[in-house]
Amino acid sequence: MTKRQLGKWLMGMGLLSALAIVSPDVLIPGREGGFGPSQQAALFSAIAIFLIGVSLLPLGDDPA
Amino acid sequence: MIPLKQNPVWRYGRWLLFALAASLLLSQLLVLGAYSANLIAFPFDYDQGEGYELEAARYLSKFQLPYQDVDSYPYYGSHYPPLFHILLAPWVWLFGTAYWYGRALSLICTLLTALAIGYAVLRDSGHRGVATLAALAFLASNTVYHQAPLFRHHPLMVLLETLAVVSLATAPGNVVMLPGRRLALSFALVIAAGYTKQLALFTAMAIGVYLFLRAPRRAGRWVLGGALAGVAIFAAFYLLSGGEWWRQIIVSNANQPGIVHAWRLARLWLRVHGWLIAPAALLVCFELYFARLSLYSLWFVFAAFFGGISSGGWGAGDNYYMTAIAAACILSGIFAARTLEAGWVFPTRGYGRAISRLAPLVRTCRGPLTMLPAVLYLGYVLTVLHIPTDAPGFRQLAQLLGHEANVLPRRPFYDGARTALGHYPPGYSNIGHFTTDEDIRAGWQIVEWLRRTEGPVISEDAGFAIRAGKPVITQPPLLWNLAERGHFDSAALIAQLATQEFGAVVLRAPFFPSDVEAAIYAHYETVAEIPMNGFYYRILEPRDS
Repeated sequence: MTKRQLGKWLMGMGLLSALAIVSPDVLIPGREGGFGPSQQAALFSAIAIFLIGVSLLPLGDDPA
Repeated sequence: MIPLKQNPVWRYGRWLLFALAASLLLSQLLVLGAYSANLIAFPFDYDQGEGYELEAARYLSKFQLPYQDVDSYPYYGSHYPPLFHILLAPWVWLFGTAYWYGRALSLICTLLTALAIGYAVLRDSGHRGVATLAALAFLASNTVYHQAPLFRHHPLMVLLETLAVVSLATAPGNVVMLPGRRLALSFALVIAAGYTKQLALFTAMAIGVYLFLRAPRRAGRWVLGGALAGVAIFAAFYLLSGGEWWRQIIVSNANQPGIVHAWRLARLWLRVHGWLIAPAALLVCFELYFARLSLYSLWFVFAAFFGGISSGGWGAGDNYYMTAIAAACILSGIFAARTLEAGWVFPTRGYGRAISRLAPLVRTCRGPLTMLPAVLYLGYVLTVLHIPTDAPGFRQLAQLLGHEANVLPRRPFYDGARTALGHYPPGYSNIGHFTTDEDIRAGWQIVEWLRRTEGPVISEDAGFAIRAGKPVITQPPLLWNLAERGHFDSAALIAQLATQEFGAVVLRAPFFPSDVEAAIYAHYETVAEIPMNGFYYRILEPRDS
């Protein structure tokens, strides 16, 4: 696997994770509990994984 | 011009700092030895749950699974997979039920883990001195110190994980050409780790990802094969236990991670182990952007991230970071060796081009940079320092460093992970102090009380019942976890409490489900309170009706 491929994988994982984390509050507005600290921490992690993936794209075909 | 590395100022300064760090790390090894000897001689539970692990070994010594039906008498079961207890079963045959051999096994596992860490650093760097410091750094960690000599399964899990990772990482050649038996060894070790404690799943994930990065097709076959082997063992235990295996190993451990709890423990881990975590993280970044990701880096990331999240669950604690600490010791050791030997090679393309512009500055600072590894180890050991404040030699060291005893209960022991007032976040193991003759006398006082009691007894620390020759009844944290998930029927236990069929109940925390606890207080009353090892053990006997 190359750095670019790994970057794309991480971007995909980060994006899917972020969607999964926010979707309960989007699909069920005003649900009990709201957007709590666990979701915030998870969303922060998902964004960080996405950004790390982006940063790997310029490294091209270097082996991961 | 004298090469900077050989400049006497930096050379002697480096040696002095290394000598100081090594001396202090060796002192921590001595403290670990003294603590282990103290615990191995202690005949009762020291940490909550040790007695239940001894009971699991006793079940297996009789060729019975410890995963009994907890809804009926004796309401006993086990949270954990059985490998640690299987290894101890022969010792039960030979020596009866005792704590010393389980504690000795845990200590040996911890020492072997340290050796594996040292070997990993030595294989990567060829630097014997740094490899030794990396191994000692693992043993100096407060978390490792607490866990090392306990009658608990965790050190065995960490040993098996470390061996699984190191055996694969140190294999010659690339993963595509690796002999199948080397892969099989690594997989067997990580499966064995998983059947010691479920947390080893995170190491298995790291190994799987590493194989996918290096050899995707081969990884697919081996990960599938490893998963099938693990599932086959799981299915066998499920069938043999009549389904109790699933309830006790999976359902009872499916805790909702508490984010606040996890965050506080993460902050403590970063504060106490930061001197190792920083170089480890830098090496991970280096491999991510300038080289190939090693198995050690992936292991560190998975263990720290997922272990940290899991540490927020009820009953979890700082020991969930023990695997990440092992990985950090390896990575920081490799970092230290490369810094000493000027072994950092940046590519001349990508982000490496920007870094290469810093090369003249780095060459200028070469001398001070070679001091960095010694500073890291010295800073680390001064942060994690834990010493008895009344022992010869250590008393003087504590005075020299301005440390006073800070553990609660009040014992002559200083623990660098606690605040000056002895505080620590929930989940940090409140252990590490030495037991006393007074603790042993108090323990035998409780045992004698139970021996004089007619009928079975419920003891929250199972060791008292075991010593009194009574059956072990209940496993409170397991029952609590199952009750929280609606998987424990307390009717039979409450009925027996209501008819006062137990001669006595010995409580510490208590950890029972709330309805069981209410039944205990409704039908039993406190008749004695005996302090032992910093806790107050309440003895309750049936109320007069």
